[in-house]
Amino acid sequence: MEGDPQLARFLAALQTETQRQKFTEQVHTLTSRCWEVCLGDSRPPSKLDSKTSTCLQNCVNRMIDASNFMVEHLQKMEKNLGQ
Amino acid sequence: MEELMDIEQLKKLTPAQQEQVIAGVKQQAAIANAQNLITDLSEKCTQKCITSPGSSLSNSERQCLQRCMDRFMESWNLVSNTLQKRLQDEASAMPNFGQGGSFN
Repeated sequence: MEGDPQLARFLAALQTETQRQKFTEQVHTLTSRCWEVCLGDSRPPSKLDSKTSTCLQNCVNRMIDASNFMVEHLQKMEKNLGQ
Repeated sequence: MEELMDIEQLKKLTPAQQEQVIAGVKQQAAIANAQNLITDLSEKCTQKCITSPGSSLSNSERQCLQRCMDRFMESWNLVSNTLQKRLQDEASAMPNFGQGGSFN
């Protein structure tokens, strides 16, 4: 594979597209969940105020934290089971 | 997707075919993303705005739908920027770890 720069470029381009798509799907999931959390109960406001913007930003970061936390916890559970 | 990524098959492609594959992947992604977005947008906004349907779509329902769609797109962009920043921060914090924060 190293001998073929054309192929290497092609595979890199494929990987870039795959990553881009993964990112976009993550944005979809997060937008959907955080919309419910931050704007779920209200009529749509005439503009995104700073409180709602902060809520959305915090929501994204805490969802990722929560996901990481649960992965860690699952790994601990798995370890404990193995003993 | 994985079963399509047969390396031996990919090696046989001519440069022109490689370009076609990349263009096809991009196009399919764009279609899937547009469909996802439209589905989400209409689900969220009809749920929010059409709560007691009358004999026709009222002005307040129209205004609600319009605002809802605008705010949803704004939210989408804000979430996208926030996620991008987070991934960049994590990547620079652990450069050997690739993309962190896998969220499903």
